Parts: sequence; C-alpha cells; structure tokens
Amino acid sequence: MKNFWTYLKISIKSKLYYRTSFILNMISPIIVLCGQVLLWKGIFKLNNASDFADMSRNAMFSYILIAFVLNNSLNWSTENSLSKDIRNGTVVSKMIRPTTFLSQNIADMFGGVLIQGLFYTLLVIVIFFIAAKDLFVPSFSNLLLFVLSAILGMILRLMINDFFSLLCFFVTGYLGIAWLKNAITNFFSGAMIPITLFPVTLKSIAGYLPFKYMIQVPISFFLGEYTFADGIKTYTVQILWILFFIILHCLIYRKIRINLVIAGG
Amino acid sequence: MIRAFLSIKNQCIKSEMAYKANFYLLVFAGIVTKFVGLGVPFILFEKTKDIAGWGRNEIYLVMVYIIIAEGVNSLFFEGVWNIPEMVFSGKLDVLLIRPMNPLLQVLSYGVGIHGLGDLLFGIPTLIYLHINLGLVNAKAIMLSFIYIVTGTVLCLAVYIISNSIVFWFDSGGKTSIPYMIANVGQYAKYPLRIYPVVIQVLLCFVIPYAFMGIVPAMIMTNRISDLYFIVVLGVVGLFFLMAIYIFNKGITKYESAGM
Repeated sequence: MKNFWTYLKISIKSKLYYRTSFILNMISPIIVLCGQVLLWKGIFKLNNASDFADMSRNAMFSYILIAFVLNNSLNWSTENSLSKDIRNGTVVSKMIRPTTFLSQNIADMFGGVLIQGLFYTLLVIVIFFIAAKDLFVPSFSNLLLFVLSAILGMILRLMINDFFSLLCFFVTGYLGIAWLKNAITNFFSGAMIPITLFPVTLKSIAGYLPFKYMIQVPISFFLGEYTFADGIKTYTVQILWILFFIILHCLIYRKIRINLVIAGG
Repeated sequence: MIRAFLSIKNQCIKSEMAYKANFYLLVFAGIVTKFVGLGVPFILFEKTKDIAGWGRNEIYLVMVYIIIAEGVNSLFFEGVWNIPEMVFSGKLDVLLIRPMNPLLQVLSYGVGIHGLGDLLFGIPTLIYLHINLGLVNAKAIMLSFIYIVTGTVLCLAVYIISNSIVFWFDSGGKTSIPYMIANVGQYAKYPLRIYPVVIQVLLCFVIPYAFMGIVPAMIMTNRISDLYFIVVLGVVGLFFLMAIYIFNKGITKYESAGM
C-alpha cells in the first residue's frame, strides 16, 4: 500500500508539471458540457414540456452535470498513458519495479482522477448552488448512496481501462483500441444520453454490459431512482464486475509476461 | 507539388499498415465511433417526432456531412495537428528549407486511419439518406458532392487556424486550444434554432461550423433558397484564404529551437 501512495504522488506531480496545459485541457470538456446543456435546453423549450420521456427537466440537467463529472474525471492522456508505454516499450520499467503492475497502473490513473475529478466536482457543486431551482437536488441519504456507487463505478472504470490498455500488447498500437473503447463505453455507460431513454433492445444490451455501472447506475442513486435495498444489490454487482476485471487482468498479464519481447528493453 | 504530397501520404499509409491489427482496428473504431455518434439523435427521435422541425433523417444528413468532412481531413490532412509539436520542437526548420509549400508539407505528415472508417460509414449512410429523403436527381447528387468538398475545406481551415495559434501562444507543444475550438463543432450537429442567438452567431460568423452541415442540409431540404449555395462557397473560400494567411503570418513569427 505504501508503494501505491508513492506512485500516486508521482502521478499527481507529473500531471501537474505542465500546469497551463493541464488547466487548458480541463476547459475542453466544459465546452462539450455547454453544448449538451444548450441542446437539452432547446429540446425542452421547443417541446414546451417539463419532462422528456418521463424524465423531468431538472433531473435531466442534474444527470448531464453528474455524468460530466464522472465521465471526465479521467482524461484521454491519463486513460491512455499505459497504452502509450506499451507502444513505445517504456512499459518495461513498470514490469521490473518491486510492486505489482496493476497497482502502478491504477495509481497512475487515480492521480489524474483525483486532480481532475476534484476540479470538476467543485465546479458542479458551485453550479448546483447557483442554479439549485433548475436542478434536481438529492436527499442526504441518496447522496451517500450515490457517492459509494460512484467510487465503485470509478474503480470499475479504472479496471476496464486497464483491461483495454493490456490489449495493446497484442495489437502493437493503442489508438484503435482507445477509440473503440471510448465509443462503446461512452454510449453504454450513459455518458452521452441516459440509458433510461434507450429503446428496449438497446436497454437490455446495456443491462448485460458492465459499463452502465460507471455512470448511469451511480446517477440513478443521485436522482433517487434506486433505494437503499437496491443499493446492496447494485454494490454487489459493481464489486463482482471489479473482481471479474481483476481476474482478467491477472490472466492476461501472466500470458503477456510469458510471451513479451521488448527490443532493447 | 501534389505528386510529392501524395507520395508522402503513400509512405504514411504504408507505415501505418505495418501494424496490421492496429490498422484494421482503427478503421473499425472509426466506423463504430461514428455509428455510436448517431445514437444520440436516434434515441431522441424514439421519444420525439422532431427537433425544431427537423426529422430524424434530416438531422442525420447534417451529421453525415460533418462525418465525411472530418473523415477526409483525418485521412489526408491529419498533419495539421502536428503544428504545435513541430513549432515547439523546432522540426518546422526542416520543412522551411525544402522547395515545397510548408503548409502542404505539414498537412502531408501523418495519416488518420480512422478517417477511412468515417468514410466507410459516412458514404453509404449519405447514399441511404439521399434515397430516403428523395434526393436522387443529378442536381442533388452534385450539390451534395460540392458540400462535402466545401465542408472538408472549411473543416481544414478551422483546424489550420486553431493549430496556427501556437505560433503566437506556445505552451510546450501541448496546447489544447485547437481541440477546444474543434469541440465547438459539436454544437453544429443540431438545428441552429435550438441555440441562443450568441451561439448561432458563433457558429455562423466566428467559427462557421454551421456551413459544414447545417446550412448545406437546410438548402438540400428546401428550408432556404438554393442561392445560399453561393454564400456557402463564399464563406468557405474566405475562411480558407484566412487560414492560409494566418499560417503564413505565423511562419514569420516562428523562431527555430536552435537545432
């Protein structure tokens, strides 16, 4: 655990090294967020309705804001840092250190999540204070249920990311996998549009996949759609998915170690 | 000059094809990404009949124009995204001493294989939309082709301008300003009417993404007069000339890294 915190500190320091660049990178998703808010504002205004497919206006805007925080806490650069290491061979330094490969990878990503997630969380809290009357404000118990689910969702996301990064060992490139992963996870996690609005077929496909536990499910707690009883069941499923990806990591990593050849590594 | 451009491009594609699995994965990723991108309007239209008077296929038409323009740009002009790094590292020196237009050289560097996926998805979808919207006459097909060209040129012009900012505001070759400007393009996928006036002005006059998809689709679906075709050509031409001017002006500001 001591090693994990050391790697976490290194990760945070390295990410804050180019401060201006890091801050500017954080502004970019805000532009997309504004676009989403304006789009939904326009849809509600033109339809002259207070709800859209059983989702109230306030709930929708809260959904967009929370999904924004959860989805953008991990940026492209942090998400793909292991993939890039694999691509250029520098991953070898991670493999010879006296700590597990997984913990280094998670620490590296978690460093990014801490800084970026904190920034976006503060931003959204400020928005909630300013525009509370236009947003769905959860009860304290729902907020607690949400926080726990969001933490589990984030761990699951880091594990899914780790899994896709490891695939780069087999295809010797990372862009293809990164694009594919982003497209699938953004859609089926509910980052682009709430899964509750999906047609039945797509909803049932999303139900079999782990991605909705990263964004849609935690937000359902926030919006009070899930109760405490649902919580136990949902947390268990989230934990089971995390365990599944940890086992998958171990299996893939063992296979990689046996076959790995790095030129000059 | 064009021959040299294509020759460099050919080498880039060959080097990408050296990693076969990654090559095909990139093409596939391009297709999936764009397919999923249409998922949002698809779901919206499951719940509503129209968005600001626009039907499902009409919105798809806007998006497909953008997809194809972005695809062509990725495939042929991906090098534009290298400008910040080239300026920071001093690699632009090499380009400036060669007897070839520096901008053309910059554009020829690198190839976005996912762009091929964009085209493989975008072109059949456009054909389907033409049939579905009853745009099967020669005039409509020719106009559609022209809008793809103007959209591509406009997209390229925006990318050149946004990346050329680095000549004045260098931030370690890691500037995200170009990506921020590119993200504004997200707004241009839906009818302008749903946005406040400020955004409408932004999309029409400041970063004229509206002329990539919305305005052409408005002309094609007879929402505005065919004469707006001239406006599209004018705006795109003007913006492209502005992009070349800004890039050339930026070159004069360029200071070598002292290699």
